[in-house]
Amino acid sequence: MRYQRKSATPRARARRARLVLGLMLALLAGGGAHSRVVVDEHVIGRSDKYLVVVPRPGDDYAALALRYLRDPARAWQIEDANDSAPLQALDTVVVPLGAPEPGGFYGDSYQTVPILAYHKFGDTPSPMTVTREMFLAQMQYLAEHDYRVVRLRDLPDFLAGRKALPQRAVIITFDDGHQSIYRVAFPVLKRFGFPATLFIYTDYIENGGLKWDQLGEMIDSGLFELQPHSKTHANLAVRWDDESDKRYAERLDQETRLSGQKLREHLADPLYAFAYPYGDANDQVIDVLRGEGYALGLTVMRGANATFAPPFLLRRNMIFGTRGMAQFREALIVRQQLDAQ
Amino acid sequence: MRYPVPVPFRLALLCVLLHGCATPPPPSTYEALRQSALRQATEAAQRHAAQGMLRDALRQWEIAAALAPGDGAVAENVRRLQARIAVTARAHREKGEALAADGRWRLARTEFLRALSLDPGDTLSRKRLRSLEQRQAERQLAAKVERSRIRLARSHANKNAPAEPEYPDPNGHAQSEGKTGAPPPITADAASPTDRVIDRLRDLLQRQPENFAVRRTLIGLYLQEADKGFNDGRYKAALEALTNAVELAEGLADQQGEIEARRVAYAERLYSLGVRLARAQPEQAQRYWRLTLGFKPDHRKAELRLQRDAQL
Repeated sequence: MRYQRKSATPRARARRARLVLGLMLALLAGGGAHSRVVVDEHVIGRSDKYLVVVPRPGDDYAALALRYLRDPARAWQIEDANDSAPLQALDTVVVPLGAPEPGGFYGDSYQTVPILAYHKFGDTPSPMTVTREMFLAQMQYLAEHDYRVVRLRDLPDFLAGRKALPQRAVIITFDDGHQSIYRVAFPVLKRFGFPATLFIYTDYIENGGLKWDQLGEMIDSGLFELQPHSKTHANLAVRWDDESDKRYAERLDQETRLSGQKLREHLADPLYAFAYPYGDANDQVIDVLRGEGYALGLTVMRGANATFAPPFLLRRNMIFGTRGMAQFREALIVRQQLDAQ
Repeated sequence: MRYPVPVPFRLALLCVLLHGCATPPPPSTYEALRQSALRQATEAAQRHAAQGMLRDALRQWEIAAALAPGDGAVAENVRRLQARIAVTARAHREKGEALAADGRWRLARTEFLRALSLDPGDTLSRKRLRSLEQRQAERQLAAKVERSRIRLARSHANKNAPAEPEYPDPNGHAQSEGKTGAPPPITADAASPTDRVIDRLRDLLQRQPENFAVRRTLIGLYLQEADKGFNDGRYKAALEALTNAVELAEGLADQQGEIEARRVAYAERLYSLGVRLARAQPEQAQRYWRLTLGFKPDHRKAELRLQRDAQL
């Protein structure tokens, strides 16, 4: 028996076609929405704070960050949430969806951020001179031991309790502006992709120290930023013999304002940090810098910086060329016990 | 027999089939992994809670909640722990405040740290900790500046010496290897010897409030701190030390006289510094006058100067 179809009018056919198409679209849209919720069968837990996922073969933290947070640069957040365990060792991975809690507190301990201070590089080690081999070994050590070199400009938000930093965050700085920073440190940092801050005293530029074109190249690499280290590198906290209050105040003003002014003439980036020459400062120096809009002041007192560190008395660890890797490792304090005194 | 089906219906059928294929039910292995992860999170949460690591426990309960969204018991554990954390953080903060008010800085610091670790948004504990760190760092830096000053003076006295001092090792170690052996371990916040003595004496005074010998010793230490701070240009530290001394000197007339003499001397010195800078650097001058009032709130001349500047 042949099914006798009743012929429909063109209008009715068009209406039916629209209905079917609508149904199809609704199904597809429903499927899409459903797949957005499910994402994939690898997601076995979900809330507004966390995903719990089963990693796929070949995944790394960056791949997970790209897939679930849409930003591979947030890989460290997943890594930190899983205690930096190798991914291969995990059956399931916790993916924090929001920004990590600022402050760096982990139950019985808290985060401290070490800032390393280098000066110059050369073939013969001395307290202030680090050899290329040693610097290379130190950077290699950071890379191999999961330290994350972050930018100094991320520190103000960490100190204000607004932003978290990776658990093993380290900051690299160079003082003065010696030529050897360009020759030795710059290629090594490029190799590892580590950012750094160069504190320069402006009278030294083109006058024995780095030249503007070298500084430009370093900044253009995206790895270096430039911040002031005074004009003449005189000790700002020690008064000269018979220096009156007025003369002293004038000197502070010149050393801070003129160095900033010179850098601003050549730089687009804002100035926010000042490294005290010889690491020395006093209340008056700090007041002057605050008045000029700086947010950070860096000493060379040893230690690392917690979220509650005073922003104008930040600690830095000088890396001496005559000390070995043991001193370097000691400088990398990224965690302190709550009860430690 | 063939039933001609209109094209839209065929497409619709295809669509339904494809839709079905795109969302298969999760394989049983995933369910087993989910159960295992849930068990691990729950056990870790209980372990952390038993150890007093409440934020870690909360985090594990929150992960458990992600793995078992419909589980009322897990949700209840999250809620309870959040409430417990808020109460515990407040208790630590209040204890820290009490200890700080009593001058027992090291113990206060630990309490503020505990409060902040439980509630990272606790601005008061953050402020208190920063102020303690600042005090510590200022003291350490002042000692370093003093070493720099001596080196500079020596180098000026000896024309052959370099005009500026070499970078000193921040902890005062010799810079060359082996001169003083291995440096001591680095700590972010080592307390100074004076701090430790003050803390111990404060502890003792807590137990023996009528022990006047201890009070006098403490006052003497605070006055030393004040002198040192003032001479180093750390006026806020000097003021803080003097304030501590004032609190302890209640009922000790001779000590009160000594403290008052210092307050007046410091205030006058700061006022004069302001006067000398008044024309060339009015802002610096005002700073000195405000500091003057910090030491001696009834310093009439400083008050008048500031009022006049405000009117201008």
